[in-house]
Amino acid sequence: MVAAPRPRSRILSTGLLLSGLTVAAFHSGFPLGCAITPGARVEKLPVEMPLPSGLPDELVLSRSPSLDGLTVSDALVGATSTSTVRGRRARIQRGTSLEILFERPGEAPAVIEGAFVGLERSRGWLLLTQDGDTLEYVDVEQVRELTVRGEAPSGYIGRGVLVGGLSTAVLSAATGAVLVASMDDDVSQAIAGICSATIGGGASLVALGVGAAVGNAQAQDARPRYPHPIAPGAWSIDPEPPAAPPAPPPPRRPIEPQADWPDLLPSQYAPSPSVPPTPPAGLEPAPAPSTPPTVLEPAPAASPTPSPTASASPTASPSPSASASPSAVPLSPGDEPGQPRLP
Amino acid sequence: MILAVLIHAVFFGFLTAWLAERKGHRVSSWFVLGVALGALATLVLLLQPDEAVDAAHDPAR
Repeated sequence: MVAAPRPRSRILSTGLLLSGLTVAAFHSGFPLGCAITPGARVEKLPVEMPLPSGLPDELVLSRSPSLDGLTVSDALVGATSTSTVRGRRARIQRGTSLEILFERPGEAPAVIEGAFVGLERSRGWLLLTQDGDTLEYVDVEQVRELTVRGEAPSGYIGRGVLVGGLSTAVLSAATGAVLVASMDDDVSQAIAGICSATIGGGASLVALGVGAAVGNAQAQDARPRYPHPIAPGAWSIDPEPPAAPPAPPPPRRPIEPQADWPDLLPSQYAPSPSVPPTPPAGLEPAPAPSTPPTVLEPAPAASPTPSPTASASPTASPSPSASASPSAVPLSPGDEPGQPRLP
Repeated sequence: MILAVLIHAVFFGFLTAWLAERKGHRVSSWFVLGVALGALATLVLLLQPDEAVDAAHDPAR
């Protein structure tokens, strides 16, 4: 006569059956496994390399006003994303991951991927980097399509890890339970349990890595892309950089006539921090001011007044060893006649 | 991802509790261990001797 199963045993059996079915449904692609966060942001890569100061860090695409009927992506990607598309302008900031379809004369169209660095207006080059150290360039005239790559969904890798690791763990646990139950004595059961745990643990770790790799590959294929065809009737790259705020003027210290001018002049004429560094070769520097050097007349000894032209450009390099003619520089009340003065 | 972890935790909890009841151990304790440790708790329970066998071999009980 079979004893009636206790309520607790019935509850455990029912719970085990239902949870097992749920796990099986999860692994078989049931909607329960849709723990995937769809990517809604653009992918941004770090760009850490010395760049010219005049290189704009934003690329602006404009859409033709007559393109309202065509299918062009016009979604706002993320609240704080690095690239935004609003209306008829798309702004792509430095670091945004791009896929550029370009076509050189006489060659087949090709695709280059990388992070956007800047737009070299003087040469008409679109600069990007693939490894963060070297720059690649594409002629703007040869660009046929700019595709902004979105972030890969974050759930794929986790799902791959779970599918691979937990599935193997469940399978190894079930195998180990059957193996242990088939043993007669405790020692054999212990040995079987240890062996199954060791083998199952190792297999689970391997499956975790494989699952992560598979999930990552799936995520790369599933990431959203926002194409911007560059064509006369579609998007166009704005040649002018976006309006930048006016740079504040460099601080200018008033130069007072001092008795020890030779000691103060080197620091007063030191370049201010706001002065941009010298651009690399290839980039035309800004034209230097064409103000000719002013020959100062000797100021009268009765009323010494500081000459306004004495406040020279902050970029002028001092030359303490320059033998300036004493007659070319006004004498201040503290100076002795005949002493060499620095211009 | 959290949902997947919860599903597997519940499954291993019920599996461990069911095995614990078959082996004569405390069901509630092993259910908690199964939820927390998953397959590891199940394997540890499998290595434990049956409570009924221990009671038979222990003269003090």
